[in-house]
Amino acid sequence: MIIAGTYFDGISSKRIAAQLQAMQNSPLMLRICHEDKAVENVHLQFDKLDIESRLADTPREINLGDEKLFITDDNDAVDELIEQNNGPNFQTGLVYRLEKNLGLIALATLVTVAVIYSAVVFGIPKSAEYIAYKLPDFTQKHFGSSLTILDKTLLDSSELDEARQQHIQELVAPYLEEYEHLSARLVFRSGMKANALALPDGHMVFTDDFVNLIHDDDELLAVLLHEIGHLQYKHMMRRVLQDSMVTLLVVLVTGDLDTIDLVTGLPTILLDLSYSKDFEREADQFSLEQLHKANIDVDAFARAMTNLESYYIDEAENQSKNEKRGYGKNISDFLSTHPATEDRVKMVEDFKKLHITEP
Amino acid sequence: MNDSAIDSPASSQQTQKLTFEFRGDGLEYFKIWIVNILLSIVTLGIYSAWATVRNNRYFHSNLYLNDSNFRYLAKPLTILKGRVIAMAVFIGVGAVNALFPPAGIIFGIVLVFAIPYLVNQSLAFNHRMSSYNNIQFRFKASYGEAFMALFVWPFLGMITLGILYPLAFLKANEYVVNNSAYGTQKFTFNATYSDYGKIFLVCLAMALVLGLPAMLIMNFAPSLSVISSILIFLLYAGGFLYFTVQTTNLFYRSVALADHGFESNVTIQGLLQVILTNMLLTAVTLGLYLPAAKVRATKYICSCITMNANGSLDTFTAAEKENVSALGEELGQVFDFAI
Repeated sequence: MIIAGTYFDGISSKRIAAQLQAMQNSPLMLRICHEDKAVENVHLQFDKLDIESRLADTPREINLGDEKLFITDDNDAVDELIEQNNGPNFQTGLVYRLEKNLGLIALATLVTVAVIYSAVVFGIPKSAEYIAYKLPDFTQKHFGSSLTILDKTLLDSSELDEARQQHIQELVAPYLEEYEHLSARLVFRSGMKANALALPDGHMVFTDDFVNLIHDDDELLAVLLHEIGHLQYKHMMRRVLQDSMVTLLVVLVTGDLDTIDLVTGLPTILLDLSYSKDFEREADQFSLEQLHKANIDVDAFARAMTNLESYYIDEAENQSKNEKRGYGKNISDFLSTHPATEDRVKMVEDFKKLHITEP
Repeated sequence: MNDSAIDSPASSQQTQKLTFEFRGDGLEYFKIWIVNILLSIVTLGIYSAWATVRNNRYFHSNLYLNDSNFRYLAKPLTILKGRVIAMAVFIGVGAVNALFPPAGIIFGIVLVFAIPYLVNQSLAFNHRMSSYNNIQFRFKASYGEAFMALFVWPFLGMITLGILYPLAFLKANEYVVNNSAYGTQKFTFNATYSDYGKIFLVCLAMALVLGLPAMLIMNFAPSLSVISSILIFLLYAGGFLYFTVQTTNLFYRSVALADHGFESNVTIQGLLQVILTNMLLTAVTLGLYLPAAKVRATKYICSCITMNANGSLDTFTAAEKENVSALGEELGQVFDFAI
């Protein structure tokens, strides 16, 4: 067997034509054809050769030692040479064989898609949940300074009158007491439109606009329990964990591709939104169960959601009428992180069918 | 023409146009890519070092200049070692930060001062691991040079409201190119401040022509906000394309290796076509087109670059061997500083 290729002497960039001769019953030899027509024969020992693994049909590199190199396009012949010397063995070129086998490629594609899909749908949420509950308290406290940060940036002190605040605090006190282990506390702030949020350290924030759009105590309790649900299930922590796991997964898949951020960033954002909706549904469910347990009409929850939605729609319309900067994004922000309001109202109906069997 | 003819001694003193050519194939690379992902997942990420090497080998080995291909030399174990240490450092820093927050400030300061060193290491590794005609590339820069190029010049560009920004760009490229070598032969970079200044001025002009009307429309005629959105989109897309194309072309045109120069003719239209096709096909295939997209982009860029060779490419000689670890490169990826 004669393998034609190029020889490099390890000192210069000069390309020298050469042949690797592997004849039966004679030692392995490299014939180097110098430009001055002189031919140099170099005896080689197969064991001393460092043959690069095959990669598609890229030129095969054989390191001869001392930086000397022989390169050939005849990959098949090199594979044959390896087999002649080592016997047909599965170790060399296993990855190449994987990469060449169309059936395996199809299977690999399916398996990869399936693995990524199940990681995203089950693996990541489940492990984030597991980790979030196992995490020692101090890490949660580390996130705790977020109210201080919010106070410095987005929130101002509340303008609600004392009596109103007092009334609400008295109303929610028994519920907060029940979730003392979460160190649940309610505070009032202004800013950030109509909003209710739960921070990982147990602070729940109701904004003035939010309190003002609530019609009765039951609605307020429904939303409070929804926020306690977020705390109870450690949603904030889980969302942080899930987002970082998704980022890791994206890096693993596209890691060695210098792709534009748009391509890799988009699935990360979409996943975050879908996880966020899952958490909202879980918190909704929690709120409904607790309302039911406390003998409060679960319709209060549906009413609160409808109020909130119409508030954001009005807000969007006012903004476009006033023709200032496009605040219409508020409503789309709200709807992209939360389930659609009609779905949430329907959830209340379903809950009633399931749990309340009054005539 | 005489594109890929092996230069004969007779023509060795004339200027020859030697083309770069990427001979990879989208489907072929897809197979390598998907096997890489599968094995990386199965081995919980350990195979990723082998995957990196196979990816890099594919893109080096399929890149031809004058009918001779480049090579990627790194060994997976070297990469794995660097990756493990980098991950350990990252987790260690994270853990110490969580337990003792003030340490974060100290780590931050240490990291900032380590970046020039790590960037040097990383460039040295990537150069050393690339070879053409069995001669390795090299990179050797001092800490001070890296510090100036990475921090001082961009800072001066900022405090002079952008007037020195083209200079910062120039200095960054000079830092990379002038410290690079092919074997014992150093590269040189001969662009000037005004070359970069012109590109920046055109971008500024675009911002004025498109951005100013958009601002006026937004403030005084919000009902026409569709138009201002279109203008802003045009500004971003056009600015990005123009800037990328011009700086890429200027870069290659300004690089020289001994008597050999380079020519680069990337066009806005050509690049836009590649980007749009890639984005569309990637979106339609839910990401499965990504590897083929990279092949397509590489093919296009390579097809635009030629080498003006004055004399033979046979006379370069190898430099002494050095060992470079992959740690700088891997730390760079973990801590995400751009190189």
